[in-house]
Amino acid sequence: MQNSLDRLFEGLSISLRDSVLPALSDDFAQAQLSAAIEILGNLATRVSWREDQFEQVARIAEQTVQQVLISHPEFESLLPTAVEGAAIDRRDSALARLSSTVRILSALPGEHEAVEACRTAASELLAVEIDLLRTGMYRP
Amino acid sequence: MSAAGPLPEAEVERLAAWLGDRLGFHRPHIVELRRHSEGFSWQTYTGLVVDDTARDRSWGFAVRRQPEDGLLAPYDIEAQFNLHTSLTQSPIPVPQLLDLEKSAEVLGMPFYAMERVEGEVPVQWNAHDHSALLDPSDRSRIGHKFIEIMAMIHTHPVEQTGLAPADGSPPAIAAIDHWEQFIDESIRVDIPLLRVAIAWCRNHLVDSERVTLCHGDYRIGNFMVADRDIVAILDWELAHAGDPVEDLAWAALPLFRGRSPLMSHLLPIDEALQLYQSFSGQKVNSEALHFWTVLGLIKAAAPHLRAASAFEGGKTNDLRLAAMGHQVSHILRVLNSLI
Repeated sequence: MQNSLDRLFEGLSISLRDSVLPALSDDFAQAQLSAAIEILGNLATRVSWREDQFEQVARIAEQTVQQVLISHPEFESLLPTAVEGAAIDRRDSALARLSSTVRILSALPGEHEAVEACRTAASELLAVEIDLLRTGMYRP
Repeated sequence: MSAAGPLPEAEVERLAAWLGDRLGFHRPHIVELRRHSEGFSWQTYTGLVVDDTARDRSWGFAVRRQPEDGLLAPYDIEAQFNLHTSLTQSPIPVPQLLDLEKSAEVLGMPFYAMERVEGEVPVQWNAHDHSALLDPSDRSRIGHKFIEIMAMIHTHPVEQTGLAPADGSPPAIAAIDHWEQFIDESIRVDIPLLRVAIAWCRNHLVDSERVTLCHGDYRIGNFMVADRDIVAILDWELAHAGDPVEDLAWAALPLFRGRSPLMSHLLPIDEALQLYQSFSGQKVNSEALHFWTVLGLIKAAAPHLRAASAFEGGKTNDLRLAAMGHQVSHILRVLNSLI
């Protein structure tokens, strides 16, 4: 998921209120949509992302980075700084560090084992995301 | 914006005057104006301009307006117009051009106008709304034409298009660099699998040793059909000088197969490749096809990331763009199976 929860709630409410609601001619449908917009507004003040999922992603990514750093400690200075604090920040930091590790390794010869470790982690991270996905778009 | 139409009334009036000037209409006005909402980049409007002083004088038009901040920015409308001009002098079916407006005085952004082509644009995800592709014989017939035109594009003199050929380095390297930079500029939450795929491409470079005009987005959804034939190839905004295998691989991406095994929901892929070889005289290397399939998926993922980024920045509340932020995972799943 690329977007923030705040922005998703905001955009959902604005689009439904300004673009969809005026296009509805049925009274009952209008009432249903108005209620949905109100519920969205009330969800926005009460929910947050699942931290357990962020922790899982951060763990997979950072463990792989640390594995590579054992044989290449010099990479640490080339990577984005590991962030402490909120789970979402640690997730973003760990993903950026793993991505940078891939970039560095891909420019070096003979690093097949380390590259493969990153690839395995990247696939695992995708599996986490796919497990959460609810859409039929592009389904084979 | 007028509640009655897809453009503000003042813009409609200015557009009518602009078209009338070029067509020699004395009192032009526009009817049947419609905005086409299929894409997320160039804005397309079609309509009919009528001369009120001679009711039998009318002209169906299509206008392509440069977006203020589309998903594939930056834009160069003059380059698009020059390319289109070059194509109108070839056997490749494209709409005839009217003129280019480089200023923002008429529609708020530069645009160019062309003839309105009558027909329908089949799409892969809603084939039941498009009868032209329901019949297998239609699919095969249109598929043959689809490949024949692709081969024509790849033999069109690229130096006549105004598109700069690559600077001597293989097109594959230029394409990887371009899409990696595009992703760097668009991504909000990094995706290691995309980085692994880019690294894979850099380690599996191919060079088919041909640099040709490439459409860049050649697939179902970007051509118009009428009377069981392709009457126009649309959406040239990603056209460039590159490796022609890129277009073949792109047209065959799983995204464009409409849950079928068919290239762009038209032809079995092996048959399409054989046809391409017979039309172009060029054998398609399977390694090159694989490479460009992987890079094609990276390229397909990139605008999804920019869409989510545009939504996050508040530039738009179009929910389709927000949805693209998680739909990208479907593309990544295919990518993961190929590297």
